[in-house]
Amino acid sequence: MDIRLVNLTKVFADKDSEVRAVDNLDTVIPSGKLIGLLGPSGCGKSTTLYMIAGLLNPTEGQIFFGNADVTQLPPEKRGIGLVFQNYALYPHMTVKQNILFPLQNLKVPKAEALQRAQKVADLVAIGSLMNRKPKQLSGGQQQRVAIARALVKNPDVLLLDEPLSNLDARLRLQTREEIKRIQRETGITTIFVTHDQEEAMSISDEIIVMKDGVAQQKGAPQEVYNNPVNLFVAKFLGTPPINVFKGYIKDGGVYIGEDRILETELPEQEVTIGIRPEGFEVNEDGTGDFTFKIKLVEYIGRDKSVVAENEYCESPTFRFIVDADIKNIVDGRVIKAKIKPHKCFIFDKLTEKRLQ
Amino acid sequence: MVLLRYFICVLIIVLVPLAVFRKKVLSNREIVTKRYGTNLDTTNTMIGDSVSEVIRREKTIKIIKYIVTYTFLTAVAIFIIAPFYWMIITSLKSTEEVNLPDPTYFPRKIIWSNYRVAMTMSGTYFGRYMINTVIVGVFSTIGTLITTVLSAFAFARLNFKGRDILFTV
Amino acid sequence: MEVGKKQYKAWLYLAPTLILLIIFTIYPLINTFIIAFKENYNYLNIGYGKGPDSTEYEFSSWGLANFKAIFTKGDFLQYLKTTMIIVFVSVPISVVLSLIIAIALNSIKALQKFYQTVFFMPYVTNTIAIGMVFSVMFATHGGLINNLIKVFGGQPQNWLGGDLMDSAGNSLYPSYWKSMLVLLTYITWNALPFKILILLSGLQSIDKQYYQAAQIDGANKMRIALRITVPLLSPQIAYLTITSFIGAFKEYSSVVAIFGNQAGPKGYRRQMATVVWYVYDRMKTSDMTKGMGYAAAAAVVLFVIIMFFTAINSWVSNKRVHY
Repeated sequence: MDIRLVNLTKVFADKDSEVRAVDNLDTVIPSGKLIGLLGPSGCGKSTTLYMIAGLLNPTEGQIFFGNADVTQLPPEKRGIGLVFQNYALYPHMTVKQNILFPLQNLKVPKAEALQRAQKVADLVAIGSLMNRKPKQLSGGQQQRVAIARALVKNPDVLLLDEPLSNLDARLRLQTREEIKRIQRETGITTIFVTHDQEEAMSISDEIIVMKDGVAQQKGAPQEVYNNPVNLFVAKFLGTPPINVFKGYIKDGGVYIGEDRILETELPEQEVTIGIRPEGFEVNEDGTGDFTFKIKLVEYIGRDKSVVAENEYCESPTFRFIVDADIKNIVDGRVIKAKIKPHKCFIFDKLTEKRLQ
Repeated sequence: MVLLRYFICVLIIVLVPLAVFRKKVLSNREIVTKRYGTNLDTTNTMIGDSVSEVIRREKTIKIIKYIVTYTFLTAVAIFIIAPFYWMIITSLKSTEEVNLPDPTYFPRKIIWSNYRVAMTMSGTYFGRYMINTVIVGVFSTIGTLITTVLSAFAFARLNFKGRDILFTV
Repeated sequence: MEVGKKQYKAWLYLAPTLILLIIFTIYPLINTFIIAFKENYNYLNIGYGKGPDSTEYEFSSWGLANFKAIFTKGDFLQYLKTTMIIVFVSVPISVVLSLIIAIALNSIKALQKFYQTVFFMPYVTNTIAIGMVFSVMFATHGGLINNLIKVFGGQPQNWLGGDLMDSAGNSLYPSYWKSMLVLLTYITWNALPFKILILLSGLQSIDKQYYQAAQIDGANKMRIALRITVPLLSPQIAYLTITSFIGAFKEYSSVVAIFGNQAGPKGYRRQMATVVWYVYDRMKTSDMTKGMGYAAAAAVVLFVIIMFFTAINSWVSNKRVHY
């Protein structure tokens, strides 16, 4: 069942100020897919999630589950499962009771309820912990209980609020694979909220990037990464982050300072240029179009991560990655490199929209 | 016995609405599942035009809940305020009115002088009483504060032998 | 040396409390126990020691005579029964009622503060003063309650006891239970504000996310109240139950406030008396040998009973309270 958000807006207003947490969000979330809502803190992603859940009422707009307008429907009637950021497991109940609770509310007969609870507990691999209380479990285990509780009633939609933020690094990798696996096995339309772009990119079928309540771009992770629609999206995705330079267009060429790095058909103007770290072609002789001075070379095994300086860069230094085998990359050297055109994005200086 | 009858009446007044209310909520769910044949699996998700019906029903239930809650709270408030109200209006009634076989709910004539008389009646050292009250109040508060704060500090911040035993005592 | 100095300082801080505690709590407690076992105790002769008879001496012998006396002679058992009724009726009712009120209060936004203030008023009043108001309100002739009953077509009752007649000359029968109803109503009226306050603050400290999770899990308001709210409030409920039990066993001022010093109207003296009333009564008696000793014994009996029920309450709390 797909989810349609039409003109969804949420405004938080008190006596003096007004905050548009979500601004005219219009999107369709396809059925059976794992969608990531990605963005920095305060961009409205959690607000959107809670509106889909029904815990917040939109100021304007509508939410459709399939063909039904559920905007005014209370959360308990929407048929969703929600995993809170802090799990919100009932502390006074055991794991089994926590998972059984939704089924009891539906008046599912006891035998069947126990069976389903056990099945879903095994699905998330906590089947052996049924008689423990939440405070006796580790963070990862608690989260899996929360997921089990959300799934046990076979919801049409599964919502996860920052599922990996409270876990340590190692557990994060493990759990995100789990989430992907569970979603594959159950086929439930799943939406999760995160501020970690690596997380979102790694498991989502599609991501929606949000900023200040407005959806910036929606698409498959690789698509959004390779074709950012504006500077914000380009900056947000990718580790190490994209390198931003001031430049201009003249005579059919893109210039950073004196260096003509790219051909273009755009008219003359000042532009902002973003170059992905993997967009630098460096060779031993240090030939190319783009000039910079190497400040520091970090050898990270397979690659070299190079910190360099260029006066037109927006930050004091920028970073790019080259193959470790390329020689003659040493501190202090001033060299040139070619820029891969598909890794270089030109943005309008004022609107930050992508021009090329 | 008379009292038993009153007791039973109260019980009925309390239990019948509960039973009725519960029945109403139950039948909600039954109606929905029967008419729309929802699979109990997916909670009470309604697809299609039944959604608006559910929304309307939910709204009425919400309103009823509000009415019940406020009525209940007001009833309790009346129970709590009654003695105060009675005290104040009795203090403003004339002596004859107070002794009427059928009490009045608001003084026919407000006698403010009752207060003056009460405080200045011969044999009543009201001023003395007030001073006593203030002295007792102030000093006992100060005394309590001093002792409790000091002890609390000692137990919380200082580590000393016998701390736990003494705390239990 | 450092540790020694710290110890010294701690005891210094505790000194005022300790002194007060020892003088006014520990010493009286121990002494009461001792007195309870002194037969024919005559407190006017303190220091004269043990003797063959008590008129010249402090007490006659060590023994259980005081305890035997209160259980066999007089109305101590009646007072115990009254006290038990007060405890086992008023405490559950006031706890449950205050729970319902607190939940209702927590669920509204408009006028919440207003209702909170109103509900807290009984706490700041004096028991004796409002008790007298209650006795006026429940007065058989000219009382508010009887008037309301008449308005609704019922039969006015003789609430506070005593031999009274209505306007037609028919006797209005007093009854222990009618008076008990008034007493219990008053005790509950007094007990609600503190409990509501504690429960309300407990309610407000419950993380909203639990309610949201329960909503998503499809629970209706009743289920949320029973399966989520009440268990999460169990620490407060346990605390209130234990302290209310203890307080109810010691009930005294409410009785005197409504029924007067003799705990009952003329002809029905001591009808509503409690154990503590008995203790005070024994202390005022002129017959020395039937005075302090009996009072001490009664106090000891009460102490044991309270300890027993507190132990039961604690045991139940341990099993059922979730922190």
